[in-house]
Amino acid sequence: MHLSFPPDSGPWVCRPCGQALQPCKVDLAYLGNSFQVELFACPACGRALVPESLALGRMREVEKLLEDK
Amino acid sequence: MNPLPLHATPPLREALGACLRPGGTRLTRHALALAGVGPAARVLDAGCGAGGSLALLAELGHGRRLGLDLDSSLLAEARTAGAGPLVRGDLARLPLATGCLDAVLCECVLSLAGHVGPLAEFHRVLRPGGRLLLADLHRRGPAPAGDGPASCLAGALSLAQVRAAVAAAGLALLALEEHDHHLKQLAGLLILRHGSLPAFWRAALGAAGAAGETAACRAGAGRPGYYLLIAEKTGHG
Repeated sequence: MHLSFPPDSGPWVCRPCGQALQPCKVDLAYLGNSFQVELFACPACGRALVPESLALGRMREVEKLLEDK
Repeated sequence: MNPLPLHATPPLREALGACLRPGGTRLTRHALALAGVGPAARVLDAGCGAGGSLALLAELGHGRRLGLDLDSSLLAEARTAGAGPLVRGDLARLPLATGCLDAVLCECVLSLAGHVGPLAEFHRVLRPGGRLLLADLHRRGPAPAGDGPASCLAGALSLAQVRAAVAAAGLALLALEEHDHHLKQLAGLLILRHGSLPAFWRAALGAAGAAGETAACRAGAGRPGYYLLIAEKTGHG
């Protein structure tokens, strides 16, 4: 299942590298579980941008599930 | 018109692919190893669905495999995928001779099909010493009330009930493992895709079905677990 989470707004540039972020496969890992998603990341350093809406929404829901809350 | 069973709904098919259950082929590989079922074994995949486990059996060199399912559209998928010999049939009336199998694999099916009839049939078709590899949901609370849409959540037993049903069928328990993490992995995937589990239920079952499943979960069927059980047919029966 393809899960893609682009930035809430854009475009974004990695400040240390000066590179425009690009779609990239990223593993979100927590408490022994791992989910492959597509996020925008720096092609040079690999740092990925987690959109605020994703972090405070779906990722928070998954965290609660994995924590049995 | 009858609603689609949960496993056949597009949102769940999208998440699961050919393996219509938590754990995918990873758990099936583990089950085969744990049960000591080698490639020479005559294996029935009881409730083979779209053939995900049959494809794994083929990959592992199991030449004497057979898939059985009641759902002709899923069997057609399995056939298209080249899953191997397939037969349409009811788990409670297997079209197979007594004692003809070395192993029966049954993954996330009995909670939908019922336990008593299929387990009696698995016992009948296994040879003495043959192994049952059973994986399914189990519940920790009371059974949900009402006639919701067909789903394995609604038909899941507690682990104590599963043990009792297997013993009542004449099968000796060899191993029982909890694999809840596979269920959490699937639930997490569904949340990432749909935003929340209630949103997934709405997408899969519509508003009425979602309300039933959510209520059942809150009433105690919630936080279901997932188990793997290995049992053996003993004696000469």
